[in-house]
Amino acid sequence: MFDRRLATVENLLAAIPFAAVALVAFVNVVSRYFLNASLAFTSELTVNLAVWMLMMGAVIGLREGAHLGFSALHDRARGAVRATMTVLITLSILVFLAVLLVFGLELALQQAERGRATPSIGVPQWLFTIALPVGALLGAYRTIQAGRAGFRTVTADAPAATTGDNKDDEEAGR
Amino acid sequence: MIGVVLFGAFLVLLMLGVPVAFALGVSAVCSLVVMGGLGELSLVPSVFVSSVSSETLLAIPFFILAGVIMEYAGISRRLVDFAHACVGQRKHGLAIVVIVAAFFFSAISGSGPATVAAIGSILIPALIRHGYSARHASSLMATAGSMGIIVPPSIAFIIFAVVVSDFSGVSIVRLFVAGVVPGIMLAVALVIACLFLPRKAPAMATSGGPGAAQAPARTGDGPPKESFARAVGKALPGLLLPVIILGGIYGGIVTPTESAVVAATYALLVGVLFYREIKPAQLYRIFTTAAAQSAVVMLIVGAASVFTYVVTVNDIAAGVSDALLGLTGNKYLIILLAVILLLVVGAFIDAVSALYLFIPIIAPVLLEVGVDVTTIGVLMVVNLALGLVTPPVGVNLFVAAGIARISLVEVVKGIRPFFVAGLVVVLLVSYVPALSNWLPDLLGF
Repeated sequence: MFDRRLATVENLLAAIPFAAVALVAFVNVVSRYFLNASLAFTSELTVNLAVWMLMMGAVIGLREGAHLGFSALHDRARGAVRATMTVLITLSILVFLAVLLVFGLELALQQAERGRATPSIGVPQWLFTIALPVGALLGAYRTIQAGRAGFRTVTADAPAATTGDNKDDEEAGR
Repeated sequence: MIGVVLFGAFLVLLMLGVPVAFALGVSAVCSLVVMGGLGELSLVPSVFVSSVSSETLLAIPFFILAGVIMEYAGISRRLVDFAHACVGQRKHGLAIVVIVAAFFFSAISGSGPATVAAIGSILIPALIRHGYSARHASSLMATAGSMGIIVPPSIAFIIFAVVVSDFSGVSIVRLFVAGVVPGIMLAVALVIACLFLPRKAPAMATSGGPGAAQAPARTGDGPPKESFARAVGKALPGLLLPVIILGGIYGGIVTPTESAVVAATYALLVGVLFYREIKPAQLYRIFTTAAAQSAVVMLIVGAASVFTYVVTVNDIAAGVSDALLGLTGNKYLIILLAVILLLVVGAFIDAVSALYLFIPIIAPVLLEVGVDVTTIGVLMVVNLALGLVTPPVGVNLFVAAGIARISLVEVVKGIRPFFVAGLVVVLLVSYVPALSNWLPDLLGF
């Protein structure tokens, strides 16, 4: 239940900024070419909102296993080797997310302290930068979740080989 | 030294199965720590954010959005019907429909997998019903989908223009125009490959029955009695999309990013008002799907920028380039080396990562031996397009295998004729600069 609600929140945090970016960008095109009024200040809004869309979209990607990679060796490995690989993959993803979390938060706090704002509309910059730590935190949760599921599949492989294989196929299919 | 850490860590992580974006990020993080301790990492977020918050690159999510909307709006299906009305009645007609429809869709979408997903779900089942083996049906669709990044608009050309700007300037528009001729060449090469495909008698394959009666799957068979004019009429709103996108860009009216926004809005209007297939409630799904698909690409862009930062600061690319030039100064050998390198790289990583990693290495070398930047762009993009269908990491193959419900191994068994066709095109565009430059020069871009 918690997971489903969290998923909805993640989806909305990705979809709403995207829709806003698209809408603002479209209004900008219309106003520039049909009303001859340039809304140049909108571009700072769109490019900054894109960071929210990117981080939350990446969380959805982690949740659904959509990030591209070379999985042929991992898919073929069995037993302890596979379990070790699953753990190492999970840890690697967590390392990068941790860097984004810690140093992204640091950057956001710095910006808040100095009161940095976007040049023309004056939106506080940290409102956008904070997407990094928030996304990294949610992403870490989803990564651990996926890693645990993967690990369990492998360790359950020995007693019930057939069900294990099915789950492997599912994973490869994603 | 740093170069060994950087590329070594990347290779190990990649082989382990870490997603490319994270493999790039973690290997860059390791190198930064080796260079200057943990404190060095505080520049990661700013490099990451400044690379992804670029107005030019915003075109990528917008083109992906346009593609997703087209699917929901039913535009893809009508494009398939239109292609069917044009060429579907000949021998191997349906196979040619796949190529024509993929070409049209590529002129709207800028991504390979998106092209396969959008029209493959309609056409792969139809091909199988018409007597083609599942492996040929899906591998044909996967290869035709690789036109997605060659025919403009193209995500790969946008990335190329952004990354190559450190070495030589070339506009996205010129690259877009340059992709037209190679795109047509690939389409023709695939049609030729199709003529040699084995095929069971369609009569025994189209046994029909209730099993084959899913409504959307039938569309690819083409409405036999429907007139050509009707198919054109129904597809017209979709066919106008490439005209709007490309006309707008080439006419200098809008930037590529703006054209992508206009395309997405137009597709949405067509879907809601004209075809009436998009319900307001579906907008949530559309934007979520498009955001996730865009993030997969943009995360690679962000992580690859951190990676490239390490490469630039340590002057690693120059070292490798010099070593390559030390090997031979012969232009044709260097081009061959680049082609082989890109084919190998393309087999393991996606086009966007490959462009970030290898433009700094390959572009200076090729420029040095006198290859023009437009040809370099086309050479790299067409090479990497073929990488989309080269195992083990051929993204298009995964999508096609998923649709056909067969294993990746099975799809790969059918790829050979199409891969050979693609390889011929790669070699032609790599060695004949006129193929890339003729059209943009003619039109004055």
